[in-house]
Amino acid sequence: MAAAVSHGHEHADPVAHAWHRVRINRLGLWLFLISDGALFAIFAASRFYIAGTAIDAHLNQLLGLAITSLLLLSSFSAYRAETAFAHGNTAHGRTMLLATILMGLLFVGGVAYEWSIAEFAASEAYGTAFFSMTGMHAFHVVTGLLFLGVIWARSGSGRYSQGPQVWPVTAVVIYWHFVDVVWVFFYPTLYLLK
Amino acid sequence: MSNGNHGGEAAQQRRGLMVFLALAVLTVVEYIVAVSLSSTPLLVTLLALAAGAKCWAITVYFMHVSRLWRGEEVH
Repeated sequence: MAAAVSHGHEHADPVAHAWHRVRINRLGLWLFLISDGALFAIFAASRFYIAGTAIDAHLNQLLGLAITSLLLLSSFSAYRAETAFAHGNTAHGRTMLLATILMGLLFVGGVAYEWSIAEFAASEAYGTAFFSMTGMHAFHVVTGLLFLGVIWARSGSGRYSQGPQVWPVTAVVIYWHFVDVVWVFFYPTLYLLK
Repeated sequence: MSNGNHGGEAAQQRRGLMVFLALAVLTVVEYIVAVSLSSTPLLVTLLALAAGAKCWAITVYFMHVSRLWRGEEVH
């Protein structure tokens, strides 16, 4: 009886029920990010173990700074997109999502170019660290771009324009920020040490 | 529309801009420090502090980590 009453109560307030689901989904997403963050932490620790703090003298510092700035800017546009969707401003949100996707693509292009001009081999200590860390990170950027693309394509019908329904946008944007947080640590680790 | 977010859209966008500018300044500072300093221990310390500050700003302001315990729909 109590269960039946509780069940009926949930359906009596569908908005509260939807927010409850968002809270559960948010917790699940953060647990995933923590486990994924542990993977990146292991990559960073490996870099110091196999190559110390040394970096390759031929590394293109300006390119590193440029792609870092791009990813930072894409995080800002992703924030703007989420904020716009949360306030029912779907058109602006979609524009900002598209800007985020374009900057993400440029970042991946920059990493690919860096790989193509690298003057160190993957078999060298620093090369092993550089290619594995940037490769794993770029893989996450590409998956983030796929998620962003799906959200952008589905948002055209206005389905993400109400409170709890904005969660898919929020989730993808949080993932994108996570990718940026990882690069916040990878950039100095790979480019700026001596 | 009640959407569970604190403050108006313009105020939130302004806050996002401030956070982005702070992150951009920290990134430039990281770069300048890296090309200027020759002491590795000091460089590692400063870069770690800058990366930690950037991580905190993104986690708190962009990823809304506090919604984990505060919730989003509570005004």
